[in-house]
Amino acid sequence: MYFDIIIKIILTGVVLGGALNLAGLLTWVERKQSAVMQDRIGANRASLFGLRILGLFHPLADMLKLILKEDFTPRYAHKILHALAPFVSVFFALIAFAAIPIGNDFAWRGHAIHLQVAHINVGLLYILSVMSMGVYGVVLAGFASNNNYSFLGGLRASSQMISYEITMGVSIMGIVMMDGSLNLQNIVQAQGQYWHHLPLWGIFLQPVSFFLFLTAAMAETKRTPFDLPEGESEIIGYFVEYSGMKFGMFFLTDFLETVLASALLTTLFLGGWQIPYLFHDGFHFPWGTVWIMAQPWVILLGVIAFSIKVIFFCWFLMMIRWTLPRFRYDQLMRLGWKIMLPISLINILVTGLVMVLL
Amino acid sequence: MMNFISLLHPFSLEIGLAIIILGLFFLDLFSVQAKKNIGSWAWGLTFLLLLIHLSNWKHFVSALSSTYVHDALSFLLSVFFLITLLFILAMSKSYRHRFERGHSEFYMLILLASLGMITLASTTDFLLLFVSLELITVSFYVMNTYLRTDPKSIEAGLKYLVLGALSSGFLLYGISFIYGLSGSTHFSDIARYASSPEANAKVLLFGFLLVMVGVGFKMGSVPFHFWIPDVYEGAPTPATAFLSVGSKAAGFFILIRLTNIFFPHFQNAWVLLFTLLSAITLIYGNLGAIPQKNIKRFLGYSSIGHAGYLLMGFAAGSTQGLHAVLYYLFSYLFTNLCAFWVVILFSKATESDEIADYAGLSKRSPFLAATLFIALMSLAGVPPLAGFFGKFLLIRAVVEKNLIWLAVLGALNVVVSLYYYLMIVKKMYIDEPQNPETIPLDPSSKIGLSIAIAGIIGLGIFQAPLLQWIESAVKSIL
Amino acid sequence: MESVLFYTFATLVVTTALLVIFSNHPAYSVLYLVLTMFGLASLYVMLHAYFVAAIQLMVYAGAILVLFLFVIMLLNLEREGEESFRSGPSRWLALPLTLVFLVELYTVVMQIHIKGSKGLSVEGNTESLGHLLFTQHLLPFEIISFVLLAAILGTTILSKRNWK
Repeated sequence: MYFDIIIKIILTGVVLGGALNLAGLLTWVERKQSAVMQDRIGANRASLFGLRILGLFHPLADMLKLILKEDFTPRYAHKILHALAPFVSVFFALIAFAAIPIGNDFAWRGHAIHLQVAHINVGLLYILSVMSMGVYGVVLAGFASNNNYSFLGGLRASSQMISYEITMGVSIMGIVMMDGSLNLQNIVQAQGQYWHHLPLWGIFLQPVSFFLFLTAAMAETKRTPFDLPEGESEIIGYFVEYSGMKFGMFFLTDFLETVLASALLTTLFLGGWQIPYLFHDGFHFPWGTVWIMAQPWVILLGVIAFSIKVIFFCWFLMMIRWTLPRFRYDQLMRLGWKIMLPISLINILVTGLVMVLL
Repeated sequence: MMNFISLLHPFSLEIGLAIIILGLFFLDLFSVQAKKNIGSWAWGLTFLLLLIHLSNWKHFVSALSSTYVHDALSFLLSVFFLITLLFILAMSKSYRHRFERGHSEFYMLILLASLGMITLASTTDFLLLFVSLELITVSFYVMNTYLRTDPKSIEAGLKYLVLGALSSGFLLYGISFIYGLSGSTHFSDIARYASSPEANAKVLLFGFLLVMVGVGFKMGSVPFHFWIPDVYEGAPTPATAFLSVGSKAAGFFILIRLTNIFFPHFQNAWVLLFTLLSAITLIYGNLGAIPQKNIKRFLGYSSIGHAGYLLMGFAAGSTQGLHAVLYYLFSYLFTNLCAFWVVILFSKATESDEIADYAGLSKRSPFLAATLFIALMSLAGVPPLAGFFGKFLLIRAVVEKNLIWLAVLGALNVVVSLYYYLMIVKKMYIDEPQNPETIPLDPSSKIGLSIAIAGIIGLGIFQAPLLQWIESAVKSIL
Repeated sequence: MESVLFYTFATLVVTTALLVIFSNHPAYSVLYLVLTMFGLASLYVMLHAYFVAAIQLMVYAGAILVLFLFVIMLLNLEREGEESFRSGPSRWLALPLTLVFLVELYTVVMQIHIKGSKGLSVEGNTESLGHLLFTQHLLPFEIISFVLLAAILGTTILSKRNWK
């Protein structure tokens, strides 16, 4: 009993710490990435004891600045809701990580250990529903500020998130149909199978669904090319009336959602913690070579593989963010409702037909 | 795969209707020619469906662990709804000029509502019952608001929406009580529970009363009637006609299925409830109709009165009562639809629903006047028309159960209703028309009205075939 | 433990549901309704109905109520007019009738022994639900799609501004 609780606490700490640190680090990656892509040097001024290490101290400096800034509430705002909104945003972005498996299940001294904070039967639905609750932070921010600009931003954000949520949910149904489970751990385990030495990862089985989900997930994170709710050059977004750490929390939410999207993409389409040809007792390569490994190392390799894949996707999303221009609002809606939703529905139909016929 | 097809087989009628609905959607999308005649397409296909359905006579099955049955009763009821549907589709054609948009969609909503009614006819499960009722109600929400620039239509739609949602809530609450007690939504399981010794009659009765709120809204019986006059007046007339026949009948058909479960177990409460409901509804509907100036409002109050008559059959609680209710509904189908069709044709020519404008109708269009005359007389219950025989059966059923005062009240109300129906007849035949122009009629409406008149007179004179059919149908659920 | 949780969530549901009615800013009403949905979802979780709980949150709290909030924000409703609800002498009937109903409800609930089915097997919850939906309850399930069709038709016709 106590053992299980301690394990869970450690696991929660690891996941939370990992997600938050990665999100913080992403602020730096974003600056550096944009700098590289625009042929600039990027942030490199923050220094500690004369050390600059590529500006890695910038996230710390940013954080410090946000905390020390004045926390201002407009006079005509709805005070309670205004204060509540950023917390709602961050809260739902964080608890979504609970259902993501970071490694394989294993037994240790007679205890079954799930490397998953919450071993939820309907984990996938849980994540989707929690993500959909994230809209409230945005809507509340837009509404409670009592400012037309933030109101516009809030409206845009909520309509965008609702529209793309549907595609997001529908697009992964193909995966669920093939794996027959809503538990993310089971979905990852099912991706450990092989078809003529090709690992049956989601991305190979459901390529259409991968691209749909990728697009929808980018729209959910509200970053370019889907950054209409912020649209810093046209309207100033739902958080225009926020300052200090409350603004910082919205800022953080965007990055947390990027991490979450990457984690979900990894879990559903890139085999989660699976490494090709790594079985529970070690590597069995298709050309016959066998490397036997002890179980703890296999698990550890899985966790590392998972982290690397997540980081890869974070970087990938960052690339897209700095490559593409912003959509126009009607284009956004047309893409969501008239292109992506029909394709994802057809994808379900085709998947079903293929499954029945095979 | 074969398994799936055999699963679908019992639903040929429902699937047929669903295919018609979806087919019309595509026809409407892709063919400009068909878009113009979508009403005729809908009518023709539905007629074909009715013929196919009639040829399936005596082919009774049950499906989905018998939550869905095709017995003689459901066959009768689906024929009832299909005939109603054909009439409504036909009369919509004379009304479509009033819609600024969505001409073909109106037909689809009518078809969707009747799909709900037809599934309702065969259900023996509260779950399906609720869903079908919702299908009917949602379609009517839209149909009632269809004249979206007319404030009266918006009022009608809004009132129907709010009260409809409220009554659905009560219905669902009642169902959840019944489910909580018996552990099933299936009618036969509930009946089994109700007759078992551990049954909790009080709570079951409470659940039934809550269900009655939802059903009462559909029937338009008195404490749940507030929406009727306004909605009947504001809604497009075909929708009103459909509400007054299809939707009302749906409520009574639910009650017929429920009679079996609940009547044997709390007879006293049942008889008390329905005699009271019936008496109040009768008095309210018939007295309310007298001062009306608008013909649709007037028919609305008269339909409340008819709900009162129909409830007499449930107050009797006997098989004779159920026979009478079914017979009355069939006669009401032809009579009321006939009256509404005349209202539509009249308003098409004169753009008015005011009773005052009906003055001298006999000189402007003798055919319409005669038709309305026959319909009103049948509504009042004058022999040898269908309405008379229906009322006769109902009063006989009540007298057999020694509810003499209810029978007397019913008879008195016939007199009252005769008064206000005759007022309109006087307007049509004795008063001089303000505008002597004749009213043009297209041949298809003439044929339709003639069929309705034939139905009214036929059911009044040759009662035996329908009555036998009804008897065999009622026998199938006992 | 279980009853403590149950009463916590039940209180949450009831109080927030009451607050939905009594708060005088419509936007707050919607937000309280969100909390009600949360409470309900928690109660579903306690009944091991995880699927229903997740769907409840996703559909009601995550989509429908957001749209409610949306409309309320767009209409910019502030306090609603007090007099708009006070209609006619029939409102004096409301209180006694409600009291009668509540008393009735109380007496009924006091003597109830809920039987109900104890829910599906805990593990394969979603699977068995899906199985039931596509066998025994196939027809209601399909009819619901027609209900949605009617609703879509209705919203398009009644609300679309430019109609070619």
